[in-house]
Amino acid sequence: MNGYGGKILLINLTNGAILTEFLGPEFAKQWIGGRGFAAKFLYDAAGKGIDPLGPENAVVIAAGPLSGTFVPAAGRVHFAAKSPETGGYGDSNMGGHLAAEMKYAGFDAIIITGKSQKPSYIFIENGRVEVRSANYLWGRSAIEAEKMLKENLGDEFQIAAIGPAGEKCVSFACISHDFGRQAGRTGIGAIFGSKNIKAIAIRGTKSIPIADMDGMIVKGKEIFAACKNSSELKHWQKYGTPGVTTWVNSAGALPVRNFQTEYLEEGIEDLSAETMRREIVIHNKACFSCPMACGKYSKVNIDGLDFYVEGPEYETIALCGSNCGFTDIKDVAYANWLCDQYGLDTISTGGVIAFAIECFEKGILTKKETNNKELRWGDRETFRYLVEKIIYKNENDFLGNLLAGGVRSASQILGKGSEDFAIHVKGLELSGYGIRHAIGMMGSYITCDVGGHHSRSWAITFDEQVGRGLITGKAERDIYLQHVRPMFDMLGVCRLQWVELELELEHYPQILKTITGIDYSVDDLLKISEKVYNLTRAFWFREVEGFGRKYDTVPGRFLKEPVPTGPTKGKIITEEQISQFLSQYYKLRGWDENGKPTKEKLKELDLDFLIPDLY
Amino acid sequence: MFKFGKDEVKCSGCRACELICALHNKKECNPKEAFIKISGNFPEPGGYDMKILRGCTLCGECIRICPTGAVFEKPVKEAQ
Repeated sequence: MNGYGGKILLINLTNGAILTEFLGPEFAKQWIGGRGFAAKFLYDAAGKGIDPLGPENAVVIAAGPLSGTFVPAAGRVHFAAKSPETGGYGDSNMGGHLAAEMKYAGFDAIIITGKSQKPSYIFIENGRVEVRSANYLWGRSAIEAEKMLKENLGDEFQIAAIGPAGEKCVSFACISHDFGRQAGRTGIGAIFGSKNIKAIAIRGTKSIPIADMDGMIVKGKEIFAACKNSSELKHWQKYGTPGVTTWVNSAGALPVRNFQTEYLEEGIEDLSAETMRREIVIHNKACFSCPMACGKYSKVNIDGLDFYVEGPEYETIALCGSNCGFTDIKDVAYANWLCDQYGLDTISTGGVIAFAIECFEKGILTKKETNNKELRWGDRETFRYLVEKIIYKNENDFLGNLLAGGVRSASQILGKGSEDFAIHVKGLELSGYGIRHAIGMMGSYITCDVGGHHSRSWAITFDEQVGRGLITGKAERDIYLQHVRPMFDMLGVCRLQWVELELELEHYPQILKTITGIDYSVDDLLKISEKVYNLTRAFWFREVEGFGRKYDTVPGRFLKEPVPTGPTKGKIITEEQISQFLSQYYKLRGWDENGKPTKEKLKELDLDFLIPDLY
Repeated sequence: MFKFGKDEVKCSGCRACELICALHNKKECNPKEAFIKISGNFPEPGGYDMKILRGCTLCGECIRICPTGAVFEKPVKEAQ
């Protein structure tokens, strides 16, 4: 089947069954691949009401039709599972080289269910699939496990591994790959751990069938040339995502000290991309076929020891940096290194640690809970102490268990007003943008289908362009972005070439046609993306009792505390703004006033099968 | 006539060179068929190794696709 590996791999760890099914052409046409496959397979495989950390949960890993082909940045792979952190739909999209290798091995998706009796890893070499013992890997850091597997199996194997955080089912544990790429969000690493799976190792030597080889080469070269000709390319190669740090701060949207404020008055230069490049970056590191190479490989020396880490990315600088009170890029790199070793999502970890420090500041946590340890902002020792508390928690360890569930559950346990500064949406800690004066970005967070994450819609620049406090037009823009950006996740390519190098969207269906032979328009692809967005919304309604409008909201802090400093000083979100935004948003989406997709909308999108679950 | 020069410091490991080599020379969408091979040195010390393999046709496609100038043309007498 042109453009696809052609097969779906199903692994049931409980009974050891390994099945291979052919990918149906009609299914592929309906769901494209990547996020589309992951969401649909997950909806079907993980039945209603399951325990996210139980054997019934499924992890779906899916590549797209462009993954591994001659398109810039064709290295994105999608992970999906019912999230242990939010209880709803969870997914995370990752770069690197895994998606391409899956395709060369002949697989478009891998669906893992059940639970292995002992620590294991999944070995895949073309059609040969085995569940092997991982006793020797268990307890190792994510980076070390990857290195050991490559040494044992060969450098051509692409590895996705968890660290001790995943093994301990920390709710924000991530999947790690290529020594520093992560599927960070929604706790997919914990699902691996709950299934006793330490890693997946894949090698493929097959060719991807291409409908029009010459056409793909010509079109591919045209898109590569468009990237090379972009005036932004050099900037991205040099600085990567940290290139936005100073801009976000100057816009008054940088999270500082658990989002107490959204502006760093002193020290931003020391967190800047320029300082990072000069002081710690030693090499550029790209994902598969990507000309931008936004990955920055860094080395820092702390107290006489060298630490090597990919990053920090902007989100890590924001959450593990300014949000935890750090103003030295070397400290952020160290915090990043800790998270990568243990296999923790840097965004959620930064949110959790900042929450804990603020609890201590306010006397909600005391030295009694911290073994006499003082929790301080901008303190490496505090960061390390809390990370290791989370990782090495045992049954009787109050603080470690408290924080391992994320800020929502921690605040529910602690009470005393901590709910207001538990910075999350739907249980997922917010990524790196303050929203008290950015209605579009606020809408991005509260309607994101995994919780408080920026990946579906990144509307802060639109807020800047049209007026940050304005409500009109923001819902429309968010919906547009929520269809475009996940479209790339379906195709298995990175969206940054569109966002940052300003590639035209039309390139993608054009090259898709040369690869698959199937003619899609941009609108066709966006319509499928809309379908997936409605499916993931339905997942929440199916899984979370009483789900609806009240879940689409912001942390209490943003409703009660005006920004105290910086260019957005005095700004606050009102209930009225949220309500107005949501009413416009739901109406445009064809959802009812409670945010549920209407029957008519579901029928329009060929999602009739969801109606019995929702009505 | 030219030979390849390589500057591994510039290589970001994207493997576009592997991809275009296999496509151009073998009509296969499969980097393992390429005459150029990129491998990483992670986690320490970082960076990439580039190898030109036997069978290279000197077609120069890898040079044209490389986004960083890590592989480039060298006149024969200067080539290492």
